Amino acid sequence: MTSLLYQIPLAQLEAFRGRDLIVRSALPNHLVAQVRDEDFANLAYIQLCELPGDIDALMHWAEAIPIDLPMRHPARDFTSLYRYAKLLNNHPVRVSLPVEAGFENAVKLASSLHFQIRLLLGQPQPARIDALAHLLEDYLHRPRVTQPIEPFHSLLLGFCHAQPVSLWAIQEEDPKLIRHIDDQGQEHLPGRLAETNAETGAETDQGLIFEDFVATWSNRLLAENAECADCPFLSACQGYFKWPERDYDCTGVKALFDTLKQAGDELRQDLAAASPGAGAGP
Amino acid sequence: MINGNHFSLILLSTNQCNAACDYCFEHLTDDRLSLERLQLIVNKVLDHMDSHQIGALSIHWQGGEAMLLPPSWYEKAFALIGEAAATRDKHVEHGLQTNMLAYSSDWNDIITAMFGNSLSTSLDYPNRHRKQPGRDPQHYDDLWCRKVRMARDAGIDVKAISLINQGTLEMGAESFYTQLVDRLGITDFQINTPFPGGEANAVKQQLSPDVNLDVNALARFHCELADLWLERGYRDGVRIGPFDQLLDYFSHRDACLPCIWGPNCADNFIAIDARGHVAQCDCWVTSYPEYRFGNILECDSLSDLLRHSPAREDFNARPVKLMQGDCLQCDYLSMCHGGCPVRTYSMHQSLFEKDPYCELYKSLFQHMEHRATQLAGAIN
Repeated sequence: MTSLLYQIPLAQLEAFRGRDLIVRSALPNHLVAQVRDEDFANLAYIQLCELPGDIDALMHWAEAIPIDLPMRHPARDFTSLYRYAKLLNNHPVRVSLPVEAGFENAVKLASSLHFQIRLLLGQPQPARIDALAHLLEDYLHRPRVTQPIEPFHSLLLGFCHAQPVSLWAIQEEDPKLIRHIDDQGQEHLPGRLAETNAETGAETDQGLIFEDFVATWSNRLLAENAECADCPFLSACQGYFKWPERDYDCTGVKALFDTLKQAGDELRQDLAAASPGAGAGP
Repeated sequence: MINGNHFSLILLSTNQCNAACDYCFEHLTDDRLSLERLQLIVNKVLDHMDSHQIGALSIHWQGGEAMLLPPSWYEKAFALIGEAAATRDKHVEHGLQTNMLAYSSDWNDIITAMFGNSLSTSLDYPNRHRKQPGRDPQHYDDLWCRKVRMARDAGIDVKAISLINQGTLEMGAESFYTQLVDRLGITDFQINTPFPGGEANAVKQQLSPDVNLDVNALARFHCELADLWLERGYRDGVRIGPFDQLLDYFSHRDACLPCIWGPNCADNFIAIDARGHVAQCDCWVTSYPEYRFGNILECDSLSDLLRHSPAREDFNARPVKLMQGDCLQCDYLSMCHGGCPVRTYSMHQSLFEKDPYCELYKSLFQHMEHRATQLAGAIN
């Protein structure tokens, strides 16, 4: 069984030490001072809030520990990525950004500087779907994109290897896997679910128990005969795009899934054709 | 990298030169680096490396003309740097860029010991602007050829940098390739685009792509030369930069693209001249006093000098500002980032424009991407 991952503020490190952690802070110097060598084994990554100005302290600290850079305002802040590019010498660095107006410029620059990217998809509006489709095309076919763009990357691998994947897990929003801890040490649900203000393990006004949130949610959508009922991508999506507005029209995102599925199938065929012995006669 | 795991230093052992090339971007002086000054510089560079936990140092020796200091000076410099680095547990590599006019067999031992029996020199074909004071370009070429032959006979690997001029374009890629590879036997060289750096003169006026050098003609030349190389030299181990690096890049292999296409050269290297001036690279350090970062001999700490330099801030700000323009829409952003600051500055008197050879780069990138795809198809 996978243990829970706690996304904690640095101030809560003492209380959560020994558990699997994502540690967030806006102050690199404080991270360096307070995170100890013995913490590294349980550290999934560190998250730099508020795009800090001086990141020199992190250059040679905890080398190879991944760093996440949440960019809340991609249209405004994307050029600051040049400041963080030097971190890539010693760390895998991922930029996490919302799919909102202007996000494509941030993605373009981030991928050009060879950052990993996580798209906080939410329920993308039709105006953003075209940009996502263009970006997916780049991710699949342009050599300049050398690093993973999530969730495209994990979905592609899932389709390629015909393995089950969960968009909730890829996006780090499955409450069974990850919890958010606030500055006071209180536990909350991850990602978009935090906006329900529900206590962990309790029921929301929609009646869902969060320990089994994903399965319960997708089963409920099926029972309601929602658009998901005949969606070929339900096993990967599990109703991700129907939260929180369940009447969200999935036409655009299904096209993205379809592109990824086709690419995954082609990749599987190419790999099979290139494998030793492929094409050999009986 | 300055802030990564590797520190690259372009070090001018002297600001003197024995040539008087028309298009030289440097402001030449009689200054030579003394061993005492070298010791001070090396200690401060190593202090900076310690404070940034950088383990490896590459020193690219240049001038002026680097061979105007005698081999014995380099022997002492090599020992001095080696001892200082050993006490700090640093790894140091040395490279040499020279016009070779002062080369003699006296250099062979130190070239072997310090520079791995390899050096880089420069030539143009046709040579219109490289010459010694009071002599014509032909004299330079004859002397250069003789010295290169001597070095090769001594087993030294000679690489070259070649600057394209109007005559090169008129002559065409076939003649250029034949001259360099087939006649001169240079099998590892890099072609560079010219720029009117430093103090203005009549020749430099002709170097600007908007004055004389037609960028479209230049692009055609590059693509034709790349094709010739792929046809005649690629499989025989001939290397021509930047074509070989671009082919690696577009073939998804590890590629070390030239510095003109880095995300931000302020993250990659600095230059120090014989007077201790610190600047972005050799193209800036003697030529543009207003863009110097400071003087390493007059400061307590190289780290502080770099951290607080307003000129260096301009270099850091350049790619950020260029992203407000059309570079962001370019398919090749990841490999160019707006191009070379000194080519930009010498032609636009501003850092905050894109490289004036933008159209050449785009044509070349597109061509090499296409050729890499074709090669991959042929292999598959």
